[in-house]
Amino acid sequence: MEVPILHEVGLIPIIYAFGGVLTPLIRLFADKRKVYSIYSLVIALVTTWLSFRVFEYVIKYKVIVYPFGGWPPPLGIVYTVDFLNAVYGLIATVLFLIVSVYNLWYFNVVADPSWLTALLLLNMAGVTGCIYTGDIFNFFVMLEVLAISSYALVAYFKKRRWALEASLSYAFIGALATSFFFFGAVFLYAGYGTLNIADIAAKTHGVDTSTLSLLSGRCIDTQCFGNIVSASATAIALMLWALTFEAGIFPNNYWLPSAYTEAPSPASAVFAGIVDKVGTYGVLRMFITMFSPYASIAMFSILGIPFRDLVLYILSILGFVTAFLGAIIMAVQNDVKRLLSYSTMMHIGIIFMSMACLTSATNLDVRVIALTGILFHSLTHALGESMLFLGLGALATIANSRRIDSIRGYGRVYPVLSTSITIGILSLIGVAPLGGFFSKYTLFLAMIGTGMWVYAISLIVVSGISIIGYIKVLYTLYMLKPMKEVKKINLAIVDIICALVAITLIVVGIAYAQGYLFDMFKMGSKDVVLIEGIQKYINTVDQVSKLIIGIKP
Amino acid sequence: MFLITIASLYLNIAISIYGVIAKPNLVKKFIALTIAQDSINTVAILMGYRVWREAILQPPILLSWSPSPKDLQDFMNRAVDPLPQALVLTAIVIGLAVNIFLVSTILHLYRHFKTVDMDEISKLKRGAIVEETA
Repeated sequence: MEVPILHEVGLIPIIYAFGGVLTPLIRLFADKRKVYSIYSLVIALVTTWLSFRVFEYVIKYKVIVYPFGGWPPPLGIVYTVDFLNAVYGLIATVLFLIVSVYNLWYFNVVADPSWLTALLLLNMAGVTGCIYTGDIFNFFVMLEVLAISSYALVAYFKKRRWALEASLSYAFIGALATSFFFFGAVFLYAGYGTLNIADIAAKTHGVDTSTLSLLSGRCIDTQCFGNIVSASATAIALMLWALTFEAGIFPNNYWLPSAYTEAPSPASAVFAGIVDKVGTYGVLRMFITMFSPYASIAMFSILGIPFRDLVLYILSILGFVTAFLGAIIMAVQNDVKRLLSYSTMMHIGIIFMSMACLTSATNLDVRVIALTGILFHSLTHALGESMLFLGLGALATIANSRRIDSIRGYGRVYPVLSTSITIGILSLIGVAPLGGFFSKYTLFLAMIGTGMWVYAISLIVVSGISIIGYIKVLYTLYMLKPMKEVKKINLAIVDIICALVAITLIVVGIAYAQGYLFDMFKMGSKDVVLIEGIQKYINTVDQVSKLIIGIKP
Repeated sequence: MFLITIASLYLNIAISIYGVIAKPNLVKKFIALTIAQDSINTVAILMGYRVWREAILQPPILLSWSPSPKDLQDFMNRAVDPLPQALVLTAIVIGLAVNIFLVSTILHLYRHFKTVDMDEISKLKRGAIVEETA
């Protein structure tokens, strides 16, 4: 493979989108619960295989490009994949595979599974589109696909009044925030004359590209199409709102607990696992590839701190507040899914907190470790949290109430499921042989390396506070006697999938400690963070553009 | 004139943000949201606009089937940037989906609560949450 064009990248979101749109056809011809669950399982299997292939190629060739419709990059939409998106794409598709196996059981208890299938598939189309895309405007479109299907999923039980209320309070500010993302994208276009991430990166870094600049214009100093310094600053300000809103960071966290609580359990698992990571990914892509420390235009100083670093510090402070809020409010919750939503908030807060380690004041090795930690924490949190949403959601469905009291004593009735839930909780707390410990430890190391002692200590303190909430669940599951005689219902599918995820958490933890995974993540993060990596990102897109237009070098 | 247009659009956006956040009535919130979307779209189109004064009667299109280099030069000078218009078209279609969803959800909410006042609904919600955590 001389030129790194891979068709699988483009197929992943397209398969999800077509799968979602074609679901009503099944309703016409074969309206059976089994058909829907098997249909989404097949789609999940195919896309997971494709994303594994993408990951394999990314490890081999560093950057993979897919130009849609055969248009040369700055003119058409391209999907550009480096290690950063490959990991997030892998998390997304594997998570959807887990959820669709769970749906084999869940579709038997929900009233009408057809729309749930369609909405989940469309949501995944939005998520994978956001993750793999190499174009800001396409990111906006996919963000809207993700957002609209999320609003609808939250309001899925439209007979419940609080579900509708949660959906509206999410949708109103969400619609406003995504409109402002569009506004930011327009500002970027007005400044740079292009919307392609690689092309913008080339212009911020002053890299000379042969074909991209031919199609979108060259820059003289800070003057491209317009003034790029003010355009970038405005665009960062406007776009960060939508990204932090999707992630649920402090001033925008009010919608998250209600929305995650009221959504159907599979949807909650997808939200907690990957939808809030899309916001994280957007911020990372912005500050690692587009406005990296090597980009002189993002480094003009305000109050003696470079602009880019100032934004990252502010984000990390917001993450710090979010983490504490999540951990403290979690301790007083009596609703099982609301407790898990606050735990999600806490973990996203930790991820944002460690963005302080990505500033230009930090040396390169620490930045690489920080990115490794962020990626690995995204992985372990996605697996652990969504497994808890699935497992405890199943128990809550059986008990017909989400109160923690109503699942007391279920640990003895469903031993396999409860053991998996215990492993998930221990991983989220950060107990040694499990994945969660090593991801938190990597973040801790990065914070120590930066000299951020306050953050490093508060990471431990936050984990300590969160134990109160988690232990409450475990105590109710195992120690208390059931309120009335519990009739055992067959939960074989839920048992199997939760046990598999629990085993994965153990395996991931051990493989990371042994160094296999750590080395892979570290090498990949190094490729993304280094200036050579950014140059490779730009050059690959440039090369593809050149190949399509047919200009010989 | 150009500056007044831009300033008034920004003012429009600011007022509509205030409307979405501060007004308790959901329908008013919704109207403010649509105004915000439309103002943002207009600003986006304005970014690709080009002031063309010399021959007002000439439209920004090519007027001959086989243009000479001079025709092309003229065209380049007076044509507006089509890309923001394409972006806005997409944004309008997406906005349509969001707006329809919001309207139907507001209707469902009204059927449940018999009110569209967000203050009253959140008062009820606070009560429900306190009851739940007690």
